[in-house]
Order: sequence, then structure tokens, then C-alpha cells
Amino acid sequence: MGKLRSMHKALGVAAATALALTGCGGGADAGGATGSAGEDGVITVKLGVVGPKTGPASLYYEYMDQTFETFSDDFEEKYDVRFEVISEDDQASPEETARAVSRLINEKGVHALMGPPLSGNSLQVADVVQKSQLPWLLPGPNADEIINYDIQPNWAFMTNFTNQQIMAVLGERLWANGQKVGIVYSADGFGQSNLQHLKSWAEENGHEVTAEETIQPGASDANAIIQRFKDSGVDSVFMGITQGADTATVTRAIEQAGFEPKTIMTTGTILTNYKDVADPSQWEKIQIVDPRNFLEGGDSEVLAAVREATGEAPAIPTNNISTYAILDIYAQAVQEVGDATDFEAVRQAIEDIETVHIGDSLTIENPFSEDDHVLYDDDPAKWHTYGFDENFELVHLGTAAECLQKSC
Amino acid sequence: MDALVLGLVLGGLYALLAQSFVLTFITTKTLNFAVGEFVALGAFVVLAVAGWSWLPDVGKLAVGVLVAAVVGAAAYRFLVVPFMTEGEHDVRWLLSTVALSFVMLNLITNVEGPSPQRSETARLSGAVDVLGAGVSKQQLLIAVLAVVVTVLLVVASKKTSAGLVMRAVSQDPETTSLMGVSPRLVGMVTYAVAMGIAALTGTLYAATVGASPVMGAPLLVASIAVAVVGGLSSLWGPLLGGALYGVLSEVTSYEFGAIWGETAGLLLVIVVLVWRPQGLLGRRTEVKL
Amino acid sequence: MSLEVDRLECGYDRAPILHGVSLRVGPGELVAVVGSNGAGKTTLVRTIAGLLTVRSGDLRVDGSSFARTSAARRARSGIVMVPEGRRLFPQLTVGENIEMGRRAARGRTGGEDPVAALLDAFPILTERWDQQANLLSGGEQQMVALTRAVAARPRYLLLDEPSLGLSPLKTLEVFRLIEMIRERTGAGILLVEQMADQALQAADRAYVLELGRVSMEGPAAEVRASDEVRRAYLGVAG
Ligand SMILES: Nc1ncnc2c1ncn2[C@@H]1O[C@H](COP(=O)(O)OP(=O)(O)O)[C@@H](O)[C@H]1O
Ligand SMILES: [Mg+2]
Repeated sequence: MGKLRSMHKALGVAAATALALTGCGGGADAGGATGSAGEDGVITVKLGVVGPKTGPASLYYEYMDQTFETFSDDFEEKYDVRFEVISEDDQASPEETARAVSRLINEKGVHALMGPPLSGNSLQVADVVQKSQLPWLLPGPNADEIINYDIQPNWAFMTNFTNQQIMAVLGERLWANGQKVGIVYSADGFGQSNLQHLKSWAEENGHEVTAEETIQPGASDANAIIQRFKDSGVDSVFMGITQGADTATVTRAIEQAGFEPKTIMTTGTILTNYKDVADPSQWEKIQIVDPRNFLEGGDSEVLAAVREATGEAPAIPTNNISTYAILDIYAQAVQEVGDATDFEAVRQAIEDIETVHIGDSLTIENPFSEDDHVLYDDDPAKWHTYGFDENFELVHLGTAAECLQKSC
Repeated sequence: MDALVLGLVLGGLYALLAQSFVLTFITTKTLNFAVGEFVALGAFVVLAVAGWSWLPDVGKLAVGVLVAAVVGAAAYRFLVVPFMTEGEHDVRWLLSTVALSFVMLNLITNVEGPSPQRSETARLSGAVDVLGAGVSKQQLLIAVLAVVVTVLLVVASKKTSAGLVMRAVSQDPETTSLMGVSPRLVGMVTYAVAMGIAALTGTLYAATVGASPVMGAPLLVASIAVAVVGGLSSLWGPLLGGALYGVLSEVTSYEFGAIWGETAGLLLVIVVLVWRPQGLLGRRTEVKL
Repeated sequence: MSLEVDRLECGYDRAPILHGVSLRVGPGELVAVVGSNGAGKTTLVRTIAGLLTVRSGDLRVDGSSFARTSAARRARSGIVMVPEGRRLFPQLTVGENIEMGRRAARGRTGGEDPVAALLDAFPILTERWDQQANLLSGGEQQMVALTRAVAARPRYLLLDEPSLGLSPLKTLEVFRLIEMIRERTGAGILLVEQMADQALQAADRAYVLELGRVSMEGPAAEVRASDEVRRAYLGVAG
């Protein structure tokens, strides 16, 4: 019985191969995703998507899902490229991620891979994906280490900023006007990585960190941390903290101690779980930086469209936008090559892409080169600085460069 | 000076929760390792009734305390009593209460989700100046409550007949049963009171950090430490233990950085365990652990 | 009207200790159970009090079985035990220990306070009222244990070796107190003793327990006069 089945399978594969070779493809795959143009002139791409569909990190899958739901018709119209999504649930666990990625590559025969969205999991499968020689689309992760440019041609493309970039932009701001910088970071991978990147940026640029303190997840107060900042004359604070609730503990201590640093910067993690456990007086002075403009232009159009199409808030706004960007890039490349299964040609087309569209009104020109597969760069003039109003809505304060000058 | 004041206040939080451990230990010689989840349970029950505008905050607190008390009594009856039948050295209750902790954590997470939720009940915002240190009113409230609850418990144990029974059970449960008092019932009542205190702590703490399923976990280690330092068999123990632990960890954090604070607190536990295993105020009893 | 032990079998874990023990204590009656060390006397008393479970056989008071009720309930119904080694609450005061005894009498009040008479007769109790129990001498502790039992308003009182560890003089005093309790409370008393002579002199009837079985029973004077008992328990040669 088992033998029979495997024979069937072998025959099926042989037949499919024969059909493909003779160029009369079309019916071999269930969805007709052959990677080249069908009768209607639309190329259907089999896109493998890995992410935590279930479990506590499911927001990190949802943003990809929302973006597909909102924009797939647009891309089809614009580029004659249709996505047939084949998704795998990695439950955010490293083991599941490895399994899911290999299933997509080896069993499902996808034409390109998107995800996993979490840096740690991406790092872990990086070698496998590079070896598979499939375009690797990364809208989620931030870790620079995911792309090793020693591997050429390189298959990975990131449309989020990297840790190194954001720390460079933050560093400029934190140390502006000779301010003394204190870093408080959570005692986990995210916090450590923030600390490391910020410190190495500081070192390269001849600055030093005046005080660095860890906060344990769930710590009941941060009074001592703030006191130490105060005592060592810190007037510029960076919070690299995973959980918004812990960020709240720090800002509560800042308020309680009557500590008034000139600058308080943090990361986008403050957008989750912070507002509900903090008061407006505590977030008054906090600012974040991001290469996207959430309030106007193409970035905000993407978010508005997601909101309208799904009836939900964008799951992770930054990543909804970066998913849009990577799909735009990939669809253009496939259209240009005319065959999604010519992986190397598609990869080259991505690397050479001239104009990336985000929404209707934002474009980014020539973002990639052989040793730059990251959409954004660390030029403060292209980054935005945000504060928060009393309802914790983002307020655009200017570009990062402007805020450097007038310190917002 | 700041560190001293803030350490005392922080110690108050741990002391209040430590009282849950001390109470169950005194009467039943067992500890409920699911205390952290009772902290969350209390906070979420209060959150659930937060919309009952006809009920004053004290009433809402009481609802949370009562629910946790009932669940606590049931936990003792069905998850502790059956697992301590084989005498002094039967510590299967340790496993069953840890299991309860996992189950409650999952249940609460499934119902409420993992993210912290804002709780406005019994919430005081702002800070006051205590001897030059800025102390959050909420934390101060918790610390004051720790003292009040401790004094009430001590007075009750000295002056009321329920207190007499509690002391008797702690010394000799078998003989207590010969006096017509069921040690199992006393255990259930104690668990009810202890988990009620955990729920009270949870509600007041949630007003600061938000109610979340895991909110009790970080308090658990510190409050067990405080209970052990003060002595698991002494009602005054948590206050003394809390003061020492709080001040030591806060002063250390001020001097050497936050990571050393907790380490110093736990070192204190080790020193106490070596020097006085029964805790500073504890009576030398045979500890079943 | 009596406390009946009917073909009682019980023991610890695997080992059976009592093999079908039957006995009876009437109201106001003083019944002695004598037997050597390890005969099963303590096991018997603890089973009647509810601290050990009955394996087979029955326990009845006034005809109704109480073999399946808890120790606390038995105490509240008036079956009161003074355990071997007295088992005072060491860190409670004399007064608090006696107060604990009263807990078993809740709901069975009325009439004169049985404790008052004892306090009058033994002023030492009042003198020591606020002293911690573990600071008392052995004799004093036994007095407190008996008074605590009386505070529980016993209908049947089970005494496990009340003379254990006491000097002959103290033993006399304790027996005087037992006698007085019988008069005052009218309780039936089951007195278990290894020191058989004193017990047999005081008792109305007696049982001899050997290796978990009743080997002899009858009026106390007869049992005391029997050869076996004289040889085995009263230290009288030949
Ligand atoms: N807790 C126990 N577990 C097992 N065996 C016991 C226990 N207590 C007593 N025994 C055994 O039961 C028998 C009767 O003991 P006990 O009732 O204490 O005798 P007595 O009171 O007449 O001296 C003895 O053989 C003793 O070893
Ligand atoms: Mg004995």
C-alpha cells in the first residue's frame, strides 16, 4: 500500500516535470500557480509564508495576513502578479520554524519565502534559506546578522529598519549637545541587543555611556535605576525594553523621583501594553524614531487601507507597511522577469529595483545593491521623530535631523 | 535616606503577600505555590466588577477577596488535603499546588489574554513626599495595609477564639481534633483568608502595573524570600522580613545597580537559612519541606 | 446506655494490631484496660477517639454506630480522650489549653461548669493559669490535661496511661482527680494503664489485653486477684 502510494507520487512528479519541460504547464498545481503567465496574462506566484498563526505572538502573523487581504487585488491589477499564499504556523518556536521552512521549501515547492517575522527565528533558518536559493522576503525582523553579505548572490531582502540603523539615529539624538546618556534595558535578548548596538555605535563615534541598568521583566519598581541616573548626572535616557508594562514601571519611577532628563527616547515596543498601565504625565516627554511617516503620505495610506479593508487596527503598523513594501518589490521583479520560477533572475531584479512604492504617494529609489539588501538607511533626514499626545496618539515632531537641531 | 524609605515601602508590598504564605504555613505546614495566580485572580475579578458603579471600591475589593477566598478554600480541600495524607514527609501538595499554578495561569490567560489591563479600582495616582523621598501613593497604601493587616492578624490570634484555635492547630493538629475542632476546616478557613490577602495585594498592585496573568510571578519570589527571612511561623515575620529585604535590595540597587538588588535580597535569605533556619522570628519547628 | 466496642480490628498500614476486641463502658462506670507494653492499648484508645480508622467491627454509643465519624465530631458528641503523654498545646497557657477543651462542649452547655469544681479542689491550676503549658511539671501537666478533658463535658472519657512518668505521690493525686471527675461528671471512664495495680484498685470492671486480644475480663477485684495478672502485671512472684 505504502509502496503503491509512493509510486503514484513519483509518477505524479514525473508527469508534472514532463509537462513543465514541454512547456504545456497550467494544470499541474491545484491553484494553477505555475509562476509564469496564465491565459489571463496574470502570473500566479506560490508564496510560502511562515509565522506564528497561533499563540501569544500571533500579532506577528496577523500583520502579514492583513496586508495580503488588503492589497493582493491591487498588486494583481498593478503588476499582473497574483499571490497564492501557502502558510505554515511556526508558533514562534525555533523548532517549529525550522520544520515549517523546510516543509515550504522541500514539499510545497514555493517560489519565494516570506518570514519568519521574529529575528531569532529568522537567524536560525538563514543558512537553510540561503542554500535553497529562493528569494527571501523579510518585512519583520530587525537583526542585522540575518543577512551575511559574504554569501553572494544573496537571497535575503529586508524592508524593516535594522538595529544598527535605528541605534545610529537614536545615538545622534541621545548624545546631541554633549548630553550624558543613561540606558535602561530589559534583561532579555531584545534589551541586550539594543544595549550592544547602541554601545558599539557610541564607541565608533567617540561617545561613552554614562550609566547602564537592567530591568527585570515584571520588576515592581525602578526607583533605584532612576536614582542612579540622577546621581550620575544623566540627562538623556534611552529605554530598550521589550514589554510596555516594564517601560511604564520606568516612566513611573522617573515621575516619582521628579527626574527631568532633557531627552527620553525609546523603541516601538512602547506601542504595545504601555498606554494601559501608564498616565499621560508619564509619557509626555517620550519620543520614538522610525523611518516611516505614520501620519501622512504613503505609509499612512497603507495603514488607512488596512484599517478600512479589515475593519481592524493594523496588527503591527510598522510591519504592515514593510510587508506592503516587500510585496511591491517582489511583484515588480516577478513582472519584469515574467517567470517566478526563474529564481536567480527574480533575485537579480529585486536587487536592481529602481523604485519601491509604498501606498500611492511614497517612493524609495534604488534601495538595494549587492551588499545592501535593506530598504532603509540611517540618514536622520529620512527618519521621523514622534511624541505622544494625552491619548497616546502619535504626534509627528519632525524628521530626526530636524529634532537634532531644535531638539524637539 | 531615599533608599531606606523606598525600601521600606517596597518591603510592605512583599510583606503583605508574604502573609499569605505565613498563614497557611502556621496552620497547615503547607505553602500554596499558586499564590501568584491568586494575585492575578483577585485583580481580574475586581476588574470584572469594576463597571458596577453602584458598588463602592471597597465593595469591589471585597468581591475579589471573597472569590479568591472561596477558590483558596476549595484548593486546600481538593488539592492539598488529599496530597498530605501520608504524614510529615508527604509533600505531594507541593506538586499539586504548582500544578494548580499552571492551570490557573492558562485559564486566566485564555479568558483575559496575556496583555496587562488597566485597573482603576482602589487606585491612587501621584506621589507624596516621605522624608524627602518621592513615594507613590499606591505603594504607600499597600505598605500601610501590610502593617494594618499584620496588626489585625496578630490581635486576632491573641484575642479571639478563632485565633486560639489557629495557634492550637499550628502546635498540634491531632490534639486539636480531640477538642472537637476539625483541623481540615481550620485549614480551609486559613487558605480562604490567605488567598483573600493575595487577592487584595493583587488588586492594589494591579492599579499600578495593570492586571495580567503573570503579574504575580515577580512578586512570588520576593515574598517567599520575605516570609522565609522573617520566619514562616511568625505573623510578625513578614514585616521584619519585608523591611530587611526591601531596604537591603533597594540600598544595594542604589549603590551597585539594579541587578545586584535582587541578588542581595536572595543572599540575605541564604544567610538567614544558614544562621537561623526557622527565620528571624520563627519558632524552631520541624519544617516539612 | 453505654459505649460499646464490638469485635474491633485495626492497625497501621499492613500490620493488624487489634484482633477482634470487644468491651463495654457504662455511664458512670470506671473500666480499666491493663496490658503490657505493646499490647495495643494506645491503638485501642486512639481508634475509639477517631484518630485511627476501624478496619472491621463496630463502635457504638447508646446503640448507634460512630465508627465512621471524624475525631472532631466524636469529641463534640462527648467521647473525649486524654492522649498518652498528655499532649498539651506546649505554647498555649494553662487557661488557653482548658479553653480549647471547652470548644468540644459548644452546644452542650447548661448546668454547673464542670471545671469550676476542679479549680476549687486543685488551686494549683488557678495559680498556673497564665503560665505556658510546657513549663509545668509532669504532674501538673497531667492535671491540666484532665481538666481540659473535663472542660469538653465528656460522656465517655478515654484515659491513656495518665500515670505515665509520674512519681508514686503524683500518681496518687492523679487518681484522686480521676475519682473526682467520675463523681462530678458521671462520665463513663475507660482507663488504660500499664501500672495495673492502682488502676485495678480504682476500677469497677477490668479487661486484660494481650497481643491485641482480650485475654480476661471481669470485676476489677477478680481480675486483680487472678494468678496470671498477679504474675504478669503486678510483679508478684509465683
Ligand atoms: N504508628 C505506628 N505504626 C506502626 N506500628 C505501630 C504504631 N504505633 C504502635 N505500633 C505497634 O502497635 C503495637 C501496639 O502498640 P500500642 O497500641 O502503642 O501498645 P501499648 O499502648 O499497649 O503499649 C506495637 O507492636 C507497636 O509497635
Ligand atoms: Mg500506649
